[in-house]
Amino acid sequence: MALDETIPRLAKLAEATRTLRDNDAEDASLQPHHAVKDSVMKVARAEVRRGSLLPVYQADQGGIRISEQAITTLIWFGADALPGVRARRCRVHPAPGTADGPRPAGTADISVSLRIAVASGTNIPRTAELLRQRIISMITAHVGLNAKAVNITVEDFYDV
Amino acid sequence: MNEREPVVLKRPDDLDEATLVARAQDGNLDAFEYLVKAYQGRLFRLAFRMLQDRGDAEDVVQDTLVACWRKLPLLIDVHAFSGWLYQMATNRCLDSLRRRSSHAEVVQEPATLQTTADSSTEPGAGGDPAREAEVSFEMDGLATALLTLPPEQRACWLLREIHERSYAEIATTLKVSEQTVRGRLARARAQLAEKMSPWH
Repeated sequence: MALDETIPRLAKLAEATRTLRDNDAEDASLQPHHAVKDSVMKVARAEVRRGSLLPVYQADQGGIRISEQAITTLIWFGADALPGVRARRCRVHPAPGTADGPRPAGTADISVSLRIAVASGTNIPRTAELLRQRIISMITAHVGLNAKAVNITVEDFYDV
Repeated sequence: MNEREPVVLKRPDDLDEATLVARAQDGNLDAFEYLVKAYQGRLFRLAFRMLQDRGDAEDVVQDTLVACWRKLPLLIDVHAFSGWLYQMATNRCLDSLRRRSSHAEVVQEPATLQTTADSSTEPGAGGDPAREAEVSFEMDGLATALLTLPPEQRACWLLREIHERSYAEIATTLKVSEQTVRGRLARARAQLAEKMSPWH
C-alpha cells in the first residue's frame, strides 16, 4: 500500500479510536448488571479476613479475645482524625513474653506495626509521635490493652 | 478529643486509591466495595470488546473481582493494583476465547447492545445529524473490525488504545517483551485501518 494512502487511513483510525474510547466510557449499557457486584461482595463478606485473635482478658472461668481486624479498624480511625496521615496496612501481635495464663483485664500487652502515607510537606517526626500517642490512648480506652510498641513506617507521600 | 467517640472511618471518597487498596488487603469491606465500583465498568468494557458477549464479559468481571479479593493480601505494591487487576481480567478473557475455539464452529451471536437506538443522542458530533451518523458508523466499523484481530493482538490494542495502559504493563500481562507489544500494536493498527477503509 502506498504511504500516501496509509497515513490518512491511520489518522481516520486514530479519530475513530478516540470516539470509541469516549463513547464506551460514557455508555450506561456498557456496565455489568448489578448482580455481578452483589455476588462479588457476597463472597467477600463470606470470606472476610479478621486476622488472628488476641487475648484481652483471661480468667479461670474463660477469656475474652479480640480480632486483629477490630483493633486495626480502631487504629485507622485514630489515624484518620490526624491531618496529613493516611493509615494503610496494620499488623497487631501479642507483645513478646505475654503468656497464656490467667491475667486481669487491662494488663495484656500488644505490639502494633502500622504503615502510613503522609501528605507532602508534613513534619514526619512530630506527626508520627502524635499518631503513636493517639494509638496508645485509644487502644487503652476502647479495648483495655496496652500498646507496648507502636512501630510506624512512612511508606509513601500523597499530594494534597 | 474524646477517646470514646464512635469509631467511624473516613469515607472512601476522601482517601487515595493506594490507601483503599491497603485497607482492602487488611479485610476492610467498604474499601473493597469502593474499588469494585471504581473498576467494574472498566473491566466490563475490556471484556465486552474482547468477547463481544455480555454474559461472558460479566463472568470475567465477577471471576476477576472474586480472585482479587482472595489474592489481595499477596499484592506487595499497592500502586500496582490496577495493572494487576487488568492482568487478571485480560488473562481470563484470553482463556475464555481459547475455550470457545476448542468448541469449534460455535457461531457467535451479534452484539446484543442497546446502544444503536440512542446513538444519535451521543455527545461529540456537535448536533449535526449527518456527522453524527458518520461518527456512529465509524465506531461500529471499528468495533466490528476489532473482532477480526487475533485475540492477543486485540488485547494489546484494547489495553493500549482504549484503556491507556503502559507498554511495560501490557508486556507483563501478556508475558512477552515490550518490543513484541509494539510490533503487535503496529500490526493491529494497520489491520484495523485496512478493514475500516471499505466504508470510506
